[in-house]
This record gives sequence, C-alpha cells and structure tokens, in this order.
Amino acid sequence: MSKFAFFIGCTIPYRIPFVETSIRKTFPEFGIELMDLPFACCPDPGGVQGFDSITWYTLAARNLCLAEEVNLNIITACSGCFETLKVSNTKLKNDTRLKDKVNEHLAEVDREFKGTIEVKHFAEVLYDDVGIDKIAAKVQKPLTGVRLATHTGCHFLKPPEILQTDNPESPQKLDEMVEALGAQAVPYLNKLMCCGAGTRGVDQDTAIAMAHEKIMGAERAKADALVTICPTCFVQYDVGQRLMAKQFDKTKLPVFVYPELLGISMGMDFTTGLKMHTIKVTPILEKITG
Amino acid sequence: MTESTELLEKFEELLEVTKLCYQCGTCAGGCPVFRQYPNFNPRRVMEKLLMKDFSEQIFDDQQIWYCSMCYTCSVRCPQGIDVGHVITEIKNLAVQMKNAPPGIVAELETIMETGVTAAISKGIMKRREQLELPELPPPNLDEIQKIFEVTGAEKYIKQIKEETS
Repeated sequence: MSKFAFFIGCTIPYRIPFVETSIRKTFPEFGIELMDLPFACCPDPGGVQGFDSITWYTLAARNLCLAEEVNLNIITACSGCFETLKVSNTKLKNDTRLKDKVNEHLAEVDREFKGTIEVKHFAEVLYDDVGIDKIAAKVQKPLTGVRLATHTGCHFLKPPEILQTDNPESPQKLDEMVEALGAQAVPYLNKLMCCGAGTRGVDQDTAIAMAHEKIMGAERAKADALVTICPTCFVQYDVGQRLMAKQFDKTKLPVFVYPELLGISMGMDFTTGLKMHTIKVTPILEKITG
Repeated sequence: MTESTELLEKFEELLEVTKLCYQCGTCAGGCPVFRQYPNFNPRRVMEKLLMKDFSEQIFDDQQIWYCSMCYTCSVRCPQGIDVGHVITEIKNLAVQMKNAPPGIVAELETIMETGVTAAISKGIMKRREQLELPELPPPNLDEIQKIFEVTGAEKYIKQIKEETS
C-alpha cells in the first residue's frame, strides 16, 4: 500500500465531482491510499501565475508545507494543480534566492518550505508506479471496439524539463493506458492542441473555438469518445460542446476523464455520476456492455 | 530595493532573454490562440520587446492575457527561449502597472476570499451528497489572506479595481 496526500484541486470537487468518485473508487484497488488534507487552490498556473508569480509560488509552497508536515508525497487529480505544485516544488528546491523570498512570506503564517516531498500526477502513478500490466489485469469489461481520441493536455506535459512525464510533442502514455482497457487509441487531427481553457478568463468565444477544433478532429477520426486526464480540459470539451453550439454546428461527442473509463472497465457502476455529464455517454456504454 | 528599481531590473532581464530571438515565427505557427485570434501573436510580442516598442500590445491592453499558457512556443523555439515564461513575466509587469482583465482580477479575489477558484453552490453540494462523497477539510483562510497581503497581491487587486471603476 502506498499512501499519498490527495490534492483534489477546485474544478473536480466543485464542478465535476463525479470524477472524484471515479478516482476514490479505483485507486485503492491498486493499493493506493488517498489522504485528504486542508489544501487550498493550488493556485491556478494561468491566472494566478500571470497575475503575480511570487504570490503563485507562495500559495503553492503553503500547500506543499501541509504535505511536508505529514511526510507524504502529493498525488494530484488535476493537471493544472500538477504543474503548479511540481514546478514550484522543483524551483524552490533548486533556487535558493526564490526559496528565501517565499519563506520570508511564509514566515508570516508560521510556515517554512523545506523541500522534503515529491509531487505526482495520478496518470504518472498509474503508468509509472502501478504499470500497464497491472491495469490490464484488473479489466473485467474490456472496452473492445471502442475508438478513443486521447487528449493528454498541456499541463501534464509542459514545461517538460521540469515535469518529465512524457514526450511533449508526441505523448504516448495515455494511449497505452486506454489500450490496456481494451480500447483503441485513434490518431486524429490536432491531437496535441491546447483545450483553450487558459483563454477563457479573457475571451470565452476564442476559448470555445479552440476546443471546437479538437472536437472536430476527433469526430473526423470517427472516435466514439474523447478521453483526458485533466478536469479543466474535460470541462472545456464536455460543458464546452453546449457553448460551441452557439457558434458552430451541434456536436455530441462523449467526453471522459480516464479514471471513469478505468472504473467502468473494472466493472464498477458509475451510473449516478455518468448522468451528470453534459454530453450523454449512453451510446458508448451500450457499446461496452453490449 | 525600491519597488521601481525591482521593476526595472525585471524588465532588463526580460530584454536580455529576448535578444536571442531572430523572429522566425515558430512560436506563432504553433500557437493555438493565434489560429483563432490573430491579434494575439507571440512573434509580435517578441518583436515589440526586441524593438523596445511598448506602444501597444505589451503592457497597456489585454491582448497579452489571451495566452492560454500551453507552452507550445517554449517547447518549439529553436533558440530555446521560454516564450511562455516571457509572456507570464509581461503579465506580472502589466499587473504592477495596474492592468489586468476583470476576469483574472475576479479569480484572484475569489481565491483570496474562499481559498478556492470555483463557486461552491448548493447544487454542487447536493451532487456531492448524491455521489456519497466525503466532506473536504476546509482551507485555512487566515493564512491565505495573510499571504495575499504580504506578497502585495491584495494591493494590486485594489489598485486595478480603482483604476477601472
């Protein structure tokens, strides 16, 4: 059993809590224990870092301190949180000038960043620690014949020199992870493209047009669904399709976060949560259960 | 070090990094925002810095905030310039010059007041109940607010709101 401090973020618990269910149900099956701590917003690598980098580092370091206190590595459920916490953790460990400045601020709340823990994304834990073979061994209802467009997303991959997860220009891990469930990862146009969520704060129409390009790429490749490992990308593509219908032709491509598909293929019943998706997922469920 | 010399120092650092740019446009070619919204062009941002031309599109309007922070430009720049980081630095300087879009300021305020970015509605709490999810331990708001105060973020929020009201 390996135990992690569970960094759930803001988007999952307060926008798409059904993703939280899928993580809390599947991870213990692989011997991973998740401990809740009073974490705050990571904070957002786009808005908060753009607003003031030192505030971003200090708020991130405060979260890292909470995990340091209980001596647990962090597992993040969200790619934005992953980028914020791993970049901050790495830079603070290696840049004394930055660390001193952040610790000066943290002293005001009686905390100190020490640099004693590591930060991992849930997909890294699944792929690198659990491994493809053990994932495949848990599959009871293989997703045979299901064509999936995988969207790894930017904040799991970049900046690559710090995050060190997968090839930022040709990510493979998520493809292998869906194939372990028996599905087919299909090549499609704009596979690497950003979901556009980062632009939402200043121009919703542009952000939605960016997400629409991706949906079109997946539809042209005749994908049954799109799967991601980031909740922010999920919201762009799932809830986003309703907004896209105002600018473009209506689409109804089902969207999943990986742990949902993982649980479904392990035979878990996620009916309550799946009904909370904006785009209906029933067509693909019928394909799986026959 | 006074605030203005610190600002100047940051600015010089930025110009130093930019010097390597030879305007090939790889950043713009890979930019997912530029494809949809050509007014945001990372090559032009770099050009403005190279020419020390700060008349538009750098600090005094909202174009720079269109960057979605995907770092495609940083990964692909043949000169190894972390273009995405340069853009983040420009945003930071713009904030110190009292300029940020209302959506971003609102996000910062929400975090300062509640500790999280999302609005915690009754509807969402009901969904959590239906899904039988546990109650989450609440963040320490006193600590969050103190950090906003000591880093100056609270002051920047106030200044920008006064400027735009």
